[in-house]
Amino acid sequence: MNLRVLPVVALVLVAVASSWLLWRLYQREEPASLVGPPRSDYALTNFDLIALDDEGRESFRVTGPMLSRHPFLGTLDIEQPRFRFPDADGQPWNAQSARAWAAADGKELRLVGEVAFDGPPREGGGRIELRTPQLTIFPDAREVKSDALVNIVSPGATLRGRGLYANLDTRRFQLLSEVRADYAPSSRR
Amino acid sequence: RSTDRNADMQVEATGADAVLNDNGESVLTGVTITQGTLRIEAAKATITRTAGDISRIVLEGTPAQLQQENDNGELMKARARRIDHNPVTEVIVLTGAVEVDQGTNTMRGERLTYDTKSGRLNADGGGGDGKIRMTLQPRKTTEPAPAPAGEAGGGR
Repeated sequence: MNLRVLPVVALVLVAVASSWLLWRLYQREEPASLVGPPRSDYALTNFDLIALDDEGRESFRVTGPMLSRHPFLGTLDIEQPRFRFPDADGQPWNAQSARAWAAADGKELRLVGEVAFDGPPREGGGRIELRTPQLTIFPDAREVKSDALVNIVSPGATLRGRGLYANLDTRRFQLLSEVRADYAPSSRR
Repeated sequence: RSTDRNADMQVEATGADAVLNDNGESVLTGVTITQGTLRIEAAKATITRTAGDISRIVLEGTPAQLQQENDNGELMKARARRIDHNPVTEVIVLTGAVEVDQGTNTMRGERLTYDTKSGRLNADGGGGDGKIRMTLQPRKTTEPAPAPAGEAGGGR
């Protein structure tokens, strides 16, 4: 091979190497694209929402300062929600928390942060008052559950435990562990 | 004690299945109950409330244990496979390998009804050999025992 070609080949190689290097560096400098919650496709402020079940009856109502809908999943993120759930007799159970997540079909609600869940007032006075850091509510089935510590005050009985499963219609509350209960005779209420 | 009924009833349990209304029933497992001088330990307790007050407590265990002081301060301890306690009538029905100790007296049998208000015990043999076993310690007398014949009157 003719020796005079060598310098040309070397120059071509150097040019290719430096442009490849430049391309690589450019790649690395490109700022990482912002990975965060996708923008909601809509957000409501000071809203009042009524969700209906499959038969068109009110499943739950929720009001609050801010609601945003996930663009792909259709789930809702709600700040400082105030919920109302009618039980089988149409009596309202009320719930509020710091935040809540609602499934796209509205069949599951997860309340998080200082959850207060109160039953309707009873004829004899008083009502069931439940406090917990986290509560999952299934509105149509009118069932609630929690994995956290739960404190339940009801007329004449205070129950506390970890892990809850409850049915609002039957007023049946199952506490799964670490149970403490205190029954006060009506003579002292 | 009769005042126990007006004290709060505190319950510790490993699990609870409660119906929270005035006439509901709560089933608790791995239970310790205290109310005044009443103290209960059982594998399972079913607490029934009527018009908001506890009207019945059924305890099951191997054995279930219950102890309570009567108004004279005497401690009654009872063990049985099933103890049915009615706080309203203050009657306790014990069935299955029943053992009751009150002060120094003891009673064994298959079925025993104890009226904590009157202190009356009603026992029947029930199953097993049908017998009831009671041990009644003689009441301690206050006068000194009579001295033997030879020494009377001496040593003053």
